[in-house]
Amino acid sequence: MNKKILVVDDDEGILEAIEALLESEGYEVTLNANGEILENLRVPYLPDVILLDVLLSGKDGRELCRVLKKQETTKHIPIIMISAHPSADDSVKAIGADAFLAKPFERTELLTLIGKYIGEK
Amino acid sequence: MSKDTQEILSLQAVRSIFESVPGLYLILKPNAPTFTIVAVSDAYVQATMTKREEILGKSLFEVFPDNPDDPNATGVKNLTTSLLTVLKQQQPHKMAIQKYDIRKPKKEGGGFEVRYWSPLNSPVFDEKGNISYLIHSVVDVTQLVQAEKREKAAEKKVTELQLLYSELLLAQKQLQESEQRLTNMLESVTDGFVSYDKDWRYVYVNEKAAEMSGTKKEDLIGKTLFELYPNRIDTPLFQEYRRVMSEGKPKQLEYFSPGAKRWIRTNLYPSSQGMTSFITDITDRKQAEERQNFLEEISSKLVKSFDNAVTLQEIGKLIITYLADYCRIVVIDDTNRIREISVNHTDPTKVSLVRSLYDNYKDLSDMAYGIPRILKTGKPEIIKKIDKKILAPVKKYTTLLKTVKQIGLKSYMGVPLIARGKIIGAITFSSVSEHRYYTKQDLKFVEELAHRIALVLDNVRLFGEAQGEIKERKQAELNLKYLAEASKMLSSSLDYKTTLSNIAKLAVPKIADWCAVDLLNGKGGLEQVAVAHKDPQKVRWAKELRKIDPPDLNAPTGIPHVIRTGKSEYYPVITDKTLVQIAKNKKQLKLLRDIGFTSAIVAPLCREGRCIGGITFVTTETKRHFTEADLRMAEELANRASIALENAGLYQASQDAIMLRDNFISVASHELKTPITSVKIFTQVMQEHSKQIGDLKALNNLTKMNKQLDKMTELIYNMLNISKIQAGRLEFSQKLFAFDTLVKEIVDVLQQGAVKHKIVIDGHTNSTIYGDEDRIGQVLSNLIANALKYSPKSDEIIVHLSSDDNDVTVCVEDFGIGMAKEHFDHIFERFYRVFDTTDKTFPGLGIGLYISSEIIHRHHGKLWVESTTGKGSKFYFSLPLKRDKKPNGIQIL
Repeated sequence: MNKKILVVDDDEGILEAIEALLESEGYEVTLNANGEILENLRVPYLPDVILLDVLLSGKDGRELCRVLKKQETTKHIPIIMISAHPSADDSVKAIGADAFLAKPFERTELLTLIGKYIGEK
Repeated sequence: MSKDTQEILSLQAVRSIFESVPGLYLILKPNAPTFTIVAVSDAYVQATMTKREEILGKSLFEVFPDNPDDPNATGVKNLTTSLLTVLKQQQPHKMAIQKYDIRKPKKEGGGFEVRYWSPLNSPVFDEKGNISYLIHSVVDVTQLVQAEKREKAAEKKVTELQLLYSELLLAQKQLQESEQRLTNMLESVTDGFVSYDKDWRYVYVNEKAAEMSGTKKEDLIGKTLFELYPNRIDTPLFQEYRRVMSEGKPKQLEYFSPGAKRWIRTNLYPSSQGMTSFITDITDRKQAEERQNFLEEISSKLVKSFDNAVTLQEIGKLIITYLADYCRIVVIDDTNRIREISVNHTDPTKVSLVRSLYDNYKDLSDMAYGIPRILKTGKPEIIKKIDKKILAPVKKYTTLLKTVKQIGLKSYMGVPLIARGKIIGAITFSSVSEHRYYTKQDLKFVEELAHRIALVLDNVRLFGEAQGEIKERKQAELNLKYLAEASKMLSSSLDYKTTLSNIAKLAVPKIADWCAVDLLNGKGGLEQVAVAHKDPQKVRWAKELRKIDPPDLNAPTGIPHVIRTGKSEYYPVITDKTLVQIAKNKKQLKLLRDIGFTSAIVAPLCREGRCIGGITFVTTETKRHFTEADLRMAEELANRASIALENAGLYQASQDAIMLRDNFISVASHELKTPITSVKIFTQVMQEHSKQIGDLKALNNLTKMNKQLDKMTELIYNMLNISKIQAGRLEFSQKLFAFDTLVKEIVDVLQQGAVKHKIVIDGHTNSTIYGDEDRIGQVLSNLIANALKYSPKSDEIIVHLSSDDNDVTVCVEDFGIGMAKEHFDHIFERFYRVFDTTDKTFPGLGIGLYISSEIIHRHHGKLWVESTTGKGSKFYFSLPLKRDKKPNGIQIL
């Protein structure tokens, strides 16, 4: 079974691009544009990795990260936070994010990170 | 004439009288040039330290030669000339004051003693009109003050003696005739002249002496002194008389005769026949002396105090001691007001009467006498005797008349005080004593007195003005200093509230006791943005005052008025009346009085041509009155403060604009990154796809596209950084990191992108640096990227690493086109671009180096370049090793 990756970003263009990239690499990709993900994150629908944008319209990505890392059911899921603010790196790691990636990033950078957390496709 | 009288007229008697007179006289024979000494007075002998028997019969110049030690001695020459002049012109000749040293007797050490003399030579004529003798009289003028007096006395005496002597000589030959003439002469002498025999019998009395004694001449002659005045036998005066007679030495006595109420001076000359007495009425002289003393005392009082009121009070006290029972002094002060100082005699019942006299009639215009008239005319006035005739014109003022009578005014004088032609006051003198009726001489005296007082008062005023000027100058200096300091404050900070508060504080206490700044607030009210006072208590009062009476923007005076008109208000003198006028109620008035306003200035503060507030200076307890100069200072300060306010406004506006721009750039750059991220991912997905399907042309194009996207990303990144640097908000994330590792990572990444060049690391630092690893990496990337770009024809870039105790140093060396020295200082400037001789530009250099230099400087490091055109460049940067380690985190350096 393909590894599942949840991508949360309020920008359609980013979602589509990452979807194109990850699907071409054989991952099963779920997209979310509004951050309303907590309802659906239940076993057996849990993703293997979450890509989470720091700034979401209407919702704070960091707050979402904090909740996910607190919940028993989700705290084991690696979270890679992405942002256009390169300086957000340290602050997101402080709230429990596993990695940070500054926009724009290289294709290989993202794939390397994902590979680091879930190994196989 | 009695037989006794004739006896005394013998030559011997005359000689004896002559010898005992108090003046310094020589009688000389007119036998020029010998001038034989025939007679000498005791005083002369004494003064010249000679002996009578040694000089009589000798030549004048043999006895009194010039001092041989004084080569400039002209005594002999001058005296000879004078004596010859007397012989030629047959009249007295007065010589100028002479230095004529006298010979000291051998037993006193010999030599000469320095003396100054005022000599007078006079001829004595015989019956044929020929000069029979010369009288040489001298006055020792060592004490110049007395010189004139003595000279006059000597002159008078010489004249008298001259007469006497001629008459006596005449008498010798024509007894009868000369007797009569002598008598006449003695009678005509203004002094009294009395001769007693050994038994104190009056043998001669002249008219004057008889008049003085109040007894007829006939009733005196032949009687003894003691039978005439039996009750005076034991008085000190008569005791002196007896002593003179018994001791045979002449004596001068001065005494007050209570009967005649006159001062008398008697010169007693004992002789073998008895005693002769010259009696002089010296009352006038005594009075003059007394007045002289009085004037001197006044003068000393006058210079003791610079407070006129005190001085005049003192003078008034002296006047009632010497001159009057009531004394009234008025002076016209600077503001043309009449200030009065009255001193009265100690009778309290009359003092109030005099007071009422002054008060009730001071404004009567039809009075013939009095201070108002003196102040108007500047003429002195006197009423020798106040009688019915004098009082007739004021009959209609019955109370006045009654008061004058009650006081018992007897005599009156009034004089103006005039200084430099200006009437500055007046003094009146009133007498209630029977024995004090003022005379013209008295008036003359008090005029002199008034003259002196006026002079001193004027001097005191001038001195006061000078002092005032000095004070003003000092204040002007303080004002200038304040202005300078305040201006510095105004330009040093753009936080105008703090600045205005500091300016207010600076004004106290040297400029004002209280300084406040009020500005219009946006809500149509006034806000006190700064207030300073010497006394914090008063600041509370002032705040209370504001609470009771919030400023009304339509108020006719004060800050609201200044704001409306744009013109300053200046209150040099705030009187209680002013406070009463402006107070709205009793509570406010009390508060205003407690604050104690003395003087105030309110100056407008403006911005963009509109008045927006005012700065207020107030003096209270220092009682300093602001001057026009202070007003100018306040206006200048307000002017400068206005400019500062304007600057602060402009600065705020520019800060707002910068903030807006930064926010825009920040938002825009992040917004731009999002689509770039998306495009970049698609590009790379397509690259991957082209690779898989073997479409190499597409792959090549997509690679180029990806590179342009990177360039675009860098531009956005730089744009954001520059904006942050400009705003001073470039953030740094500081931590300790291994420097060599960073260098290796950067070189590795760049080596991947470099097709032709080999990037070599030379050396190592083995150092740990505290700083922002990413940004320092960015600097190194930038330098290596530039090296690659500007050395297209070479194939090597060397990164040299080194370190010492203080710094690590990196040098990126290329072997490219290089640059001219003139660019070295500029290439780190924002937007600077290097043009080569063919005007070809090297794009992209400026911004990267500018950001790099900012990053290095913020890390307290250095960035510099060495380069030669055509040979290559070396870009260096160094970073300090020992920096205080700060906790990790984001910092703004």
